[in-house]
Amino acid sequence: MFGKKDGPERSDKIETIIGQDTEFKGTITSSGGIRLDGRVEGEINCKGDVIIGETATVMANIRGRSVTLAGEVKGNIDTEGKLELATTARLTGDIKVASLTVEDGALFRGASDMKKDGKDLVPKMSSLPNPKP
Amino acid sequence: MFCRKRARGSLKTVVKCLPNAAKKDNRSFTIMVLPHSGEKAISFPLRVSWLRMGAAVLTVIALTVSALCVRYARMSVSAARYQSELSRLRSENSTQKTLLDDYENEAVETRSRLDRLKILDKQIRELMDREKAVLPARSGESQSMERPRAEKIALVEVSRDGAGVRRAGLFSPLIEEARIREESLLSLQDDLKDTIAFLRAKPSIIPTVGPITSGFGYRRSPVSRSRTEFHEGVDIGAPYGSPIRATGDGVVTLSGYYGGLGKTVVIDHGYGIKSWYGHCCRLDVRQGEKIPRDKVIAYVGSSGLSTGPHLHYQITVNGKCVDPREFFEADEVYKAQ
Repeated sequence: MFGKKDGPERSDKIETIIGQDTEFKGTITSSGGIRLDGRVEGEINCKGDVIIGETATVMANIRGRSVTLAGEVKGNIDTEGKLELATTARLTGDIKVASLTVEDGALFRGASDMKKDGKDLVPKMSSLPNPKP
Repeated sequence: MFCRKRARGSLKTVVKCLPNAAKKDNRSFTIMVLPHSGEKAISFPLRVSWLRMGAAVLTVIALTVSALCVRYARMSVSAARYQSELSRLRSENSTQKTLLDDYENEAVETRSRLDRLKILDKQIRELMDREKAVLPARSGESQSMERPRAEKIALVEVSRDGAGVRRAGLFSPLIEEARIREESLLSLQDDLKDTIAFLRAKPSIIPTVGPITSGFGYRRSPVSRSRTEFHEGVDIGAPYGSPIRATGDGVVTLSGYYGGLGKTVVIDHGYGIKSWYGHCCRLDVRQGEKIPRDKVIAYVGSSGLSTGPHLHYQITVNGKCVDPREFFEADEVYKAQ
């Protein structure tokens, strides 16, 4: 439970909260953790973890070390670590993640891409073996 | 001790806090719980005054709890003490029970011994009565004295043997019994003193050494030879001048001539008994003199109506003549023959 998490300088602390009854438009840049519960439009650029609560409605592209999503997001998500989609999550957008967890009932519409150690893993479609007829 | 000190400390804190709490403190803050998953955040808006109140309440609770703890600790300590005392009392009780059993056994033993004492008492009384029974007149008197007392004791015994009395106490009947026995023995002691005095006074030895030449009762008269006469005593043949001894304690009522008996000594032994010593040649006592048994009172002679030196020994009980041989102790009789 208290075991060391992967990744250096990881900040588990949530430093910024956008409350349920708050609407925000603009760019958020943070090196600590962020929790969003209200309406956000713009862009989120975070070096820590991003948590999007059930009541949140986010229209933004999100970059973060890891993202936990329980609310609604319209935008692309890019993470160094994992992306978790909870049961109540509604995501419309493309993702590029190192690891992906989708719970039963989560909504996800978009393209998904994986990366490892910060590098894109773009498999060439041509290198894929042809399915035998 | 430690607990009490701490409790006092907390009390001080409360006292310090209370004036501040009394002032209206409007500062407030929020405690939020933010799940790192997407679940709903929970926030608790709080006022400092509430916190203070809460702290006070908590302090009170803590005080109460610590007081209860102290109380409990004390109670458990005293409980342990009571426990040990209880076990001690239990063991004491059991030892006392055995002791009580011992006492009961001893009481039973004492009772049986007292019963034996009672029998012994009775036997001693019977012995004494038998000793006095020699005297017809005296025995009648003594019987009327002794019997009722014996009866009384027996009656008391019977009532005391009832089961109801026995339950009243283990030793009280024994004590009562012992008291009765003591009374009985005291009276027995008095009786014994009387008996001893009586036995001292009672003529019971042969007054002089010699054979009985003439017994008690009818005989041919030694003087006239032709008639029979009633011999009121016994004649003991002895040489002239043989010492004559008093046969029992008594007072000399006569020391001098007495008709045909010549020089005569009469001793009154009390109890209506008198002894007569006749035909003496010399008298050694005076009238009114107190004489112990065995004291030489006179010497054998032939004074008065006599055919030769001998002692006429005669005993009267309430004025009536009795056979002096009945008074001689067994060994004395043997010695005389």
